[in-house]
Amino acid sequence: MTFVSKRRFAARTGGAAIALGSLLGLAVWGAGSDADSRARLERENERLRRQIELASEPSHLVLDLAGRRLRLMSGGAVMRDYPILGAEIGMPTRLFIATAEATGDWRAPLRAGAQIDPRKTIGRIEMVPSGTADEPAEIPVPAAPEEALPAPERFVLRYEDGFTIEVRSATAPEQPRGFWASLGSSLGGRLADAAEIAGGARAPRLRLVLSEGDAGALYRSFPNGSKLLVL
Amino acid sequence: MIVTIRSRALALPRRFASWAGSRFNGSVDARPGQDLRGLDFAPGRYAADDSSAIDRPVRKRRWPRRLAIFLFGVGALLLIAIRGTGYRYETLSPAAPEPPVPTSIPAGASAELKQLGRDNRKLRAEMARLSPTGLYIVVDRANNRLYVKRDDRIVMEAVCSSGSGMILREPNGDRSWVFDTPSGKFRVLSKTEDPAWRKPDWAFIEEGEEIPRDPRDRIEYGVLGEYGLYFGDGYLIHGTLYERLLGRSVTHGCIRLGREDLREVFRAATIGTPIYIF
Repeated sequence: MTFVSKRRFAARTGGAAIALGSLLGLAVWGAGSDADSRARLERENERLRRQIELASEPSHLVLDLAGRRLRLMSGGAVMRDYPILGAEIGMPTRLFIATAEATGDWRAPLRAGAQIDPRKTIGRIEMVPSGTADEPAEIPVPAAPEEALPAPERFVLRYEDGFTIEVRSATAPEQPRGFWASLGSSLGGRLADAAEIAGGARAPRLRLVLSEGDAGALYRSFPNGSKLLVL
Repeated sequence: MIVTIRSRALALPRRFASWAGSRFNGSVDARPGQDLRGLDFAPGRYAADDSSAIDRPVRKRRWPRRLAIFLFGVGALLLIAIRGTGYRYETLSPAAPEPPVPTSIPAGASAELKQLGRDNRKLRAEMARLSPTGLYIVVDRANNRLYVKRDDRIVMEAVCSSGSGMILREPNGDRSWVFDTPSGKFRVLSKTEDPAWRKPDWAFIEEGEEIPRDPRDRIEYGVLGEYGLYFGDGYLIHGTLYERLLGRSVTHGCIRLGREDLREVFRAATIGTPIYIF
C-alpha cells in the first residue's frame, strides 16, 4: 500500500482536473470553430452561387452593405460603383405588428423585375434628310444627359415582390422646408404608407442616400428589369 | 309611481348619459311591471296614469351629439391605426466585414466541411472565369462616359458621345434606321490608325445624296479621328471633328472620344480587350 500525502493527492487531483478541463475546452472550441467555419462556408457558397446565376443576366445590382456600395454589374464585371452615404431599412407594420415578411431576413431573397419610378421617358426624334423641304435651317445642339433626362431628387426602384429601394440625392432635403409643407409632407407620407400597407404591401423598403451625381447617374442608366442581390 | 334605481352600477351610465345630453338621473316614472327598455329616461315625463305618454315615449333629438361622438371615436381609432401602420425605419450602420472564409480545410475536418471547401473552390473558380481580368472598357451610354478599368479599378475616365437614338426613314423607301449604341459585352476586334469610313447607305440618305454604285465612292478619310477600335457590326470607338459635342448623344451608334482620350484608350487596349456597354 502506497501512502500518498494529502497535499500530493490534492495536487494530483487538481492537475488531472485541469488537464481534463483543457481537453474538454479544446474539444468544445474545436467543435465551435468547425461549426463556425461550416456556417461561413455555406453562406459564402450561397452568395457565390447567386452571383454566378446573376452573371448570366445582362445587368444586375449588388448591394454591399458591409462595404457601403451599390454596384451596377453586367455579367461578372462592375459597370459602376455608387458609394452609399446613408442607408435605412423600413419594416412594414400593421397595427403595431410587424408583417411576416418583415420578421424574416430581408437580405436573403433575390429580388427581380425592378422598375424605376418615376418612369424615364425617352422620346425619339425622326431625322429630316438634308436637301428636303422640311430641313431645319440650323441643326440644334442636343442637350447633355443631365438636361435631357434630369433625375428627380428621389426615385424608387420597385421589385416584383414589393420590395422597394428609395434613392435620395444627398442634396435633397429629408423634409420640405417650412412648417406646413413639412407637416403636410409628413402626414401625406404616413397616410400613403398606411394605405399601401392596408392595400397589401408586405415587403420592406430600403432607403439609400447617394451623392447628387451618383443618384442622377443611376437614375439615367438603371436598366429596368434588373435583379438585386444583397450581400 | 316612481321607480328609483339606485345602484353603483348606474354611476357610469349616468355620467355618460349626462355627457351625451340625457337628463337621466337614475329615477324614472313608470307603472308597476312596466318594461323600462326603450324608454327615454327623463324624470317626470311618464306619469303612472298617463297611458298615452307611456305608449309614445318622448324622444329628443340627440343624433347630432351621438354622431359627433361616433365620428370622434372613429377618428381616434383611425389615427391609432395609422400611427401603428406604416414603415418602422432603422439605420443600417456599416457591418464589420466577415473574416475571410478558410481557403484550406484541415485534414481532420468533418466530411461535410471538406465537401463545402471543395464546392467553395469550384464556385470561386467559376466566378473568376466570369469576371474580367486585366484591362476592360466600360461605356455608360446614358451618361456619355467611358471608363478604362483594371480589376474593378478605374484607371481612366473620359467624356464620350454615344448614339443619338434618332430615327431615319428612307424617303420613298421601306428602310429605316435607329441610331442607338448597342448594349452588352463586346471585344476589340481590330485596331486601326487613321481609319477610313466606309459610308453606309444611311449616311447618303441623311445627306440627301444618291447612294453610289461604286464602293470606292463610299470611302471617306479623316472623319473618324486618328484611331479606331472596331468592336463588331459596324461599330467603332473613334475620334471626332466635333469635340464640342462630346458628352452629348449625337452619334449614329459609334462611340466618339476626344483626341487625347482616344490616344490613351488605343494605347491601353489590345485585340480581345472586353468592352461592356450599358
